[in-house]
Amino acid sequence: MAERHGHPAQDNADAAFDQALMQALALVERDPPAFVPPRTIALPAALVRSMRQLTQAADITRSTLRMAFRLL
Amino acid sequence: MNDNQVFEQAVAPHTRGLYAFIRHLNRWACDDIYQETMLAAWQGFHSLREQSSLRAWLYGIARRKAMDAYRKRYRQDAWEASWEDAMPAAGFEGQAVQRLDIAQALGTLQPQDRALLYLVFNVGFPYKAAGQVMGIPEGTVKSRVFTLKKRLKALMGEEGQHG
Repeated sequence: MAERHGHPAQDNADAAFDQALMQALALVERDPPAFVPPRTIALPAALVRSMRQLTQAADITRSTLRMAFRLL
Repeated sequence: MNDNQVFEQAVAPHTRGLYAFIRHLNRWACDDIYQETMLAAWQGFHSLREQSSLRAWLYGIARRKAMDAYRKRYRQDAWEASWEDAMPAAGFEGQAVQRLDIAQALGTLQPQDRALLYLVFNVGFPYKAAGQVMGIPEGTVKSRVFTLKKRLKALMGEEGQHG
């Protein structure tokens, strides 16, 4: 219910209106659609290690090529 | 209990209200916005330091996701501007020839106004927290709620009776 700061008599008159307002505002209430949290896939440790090694290999290759081009 | 179960248990009490809040903000893309909100919440859940602020945090994410969807669709930043632009002009009450019921009257409001009223009246956010969720100052929330109620009453032809 909204905060009230007025005269008590006016507050009483307002209360009936507020009640009707609440009921009308509640007309849109429905059960929400189900939310399914996205699944986090657990990668096997060996795969994670391989991916890390691949990334490192790619970094080494990139810097080697960069050095080679500089020398040319 | 795994991480997903902890998350699901924490957000479960808030999902229905959160979805309704999003439906008030954006009916056409509410399912997508809800999913994006939950995904962002799931991703950031473990970095949330204070679990007590979970509710406001969730609604804040939802508001930003709804704003993103709105911008994607219209390619303009009309959202913030509409807080001022959409303020009813003086004397608008006289234009309401036909009396509306409260649901019809709510239908005439801007989506973010309906969402703000939902936060304050149905979710029970204090003005300050509602302002934080909606990205507006507490004082603006107060005056906005007052103006919106006045407008609704006028549309329903109740202005003379209540105030």
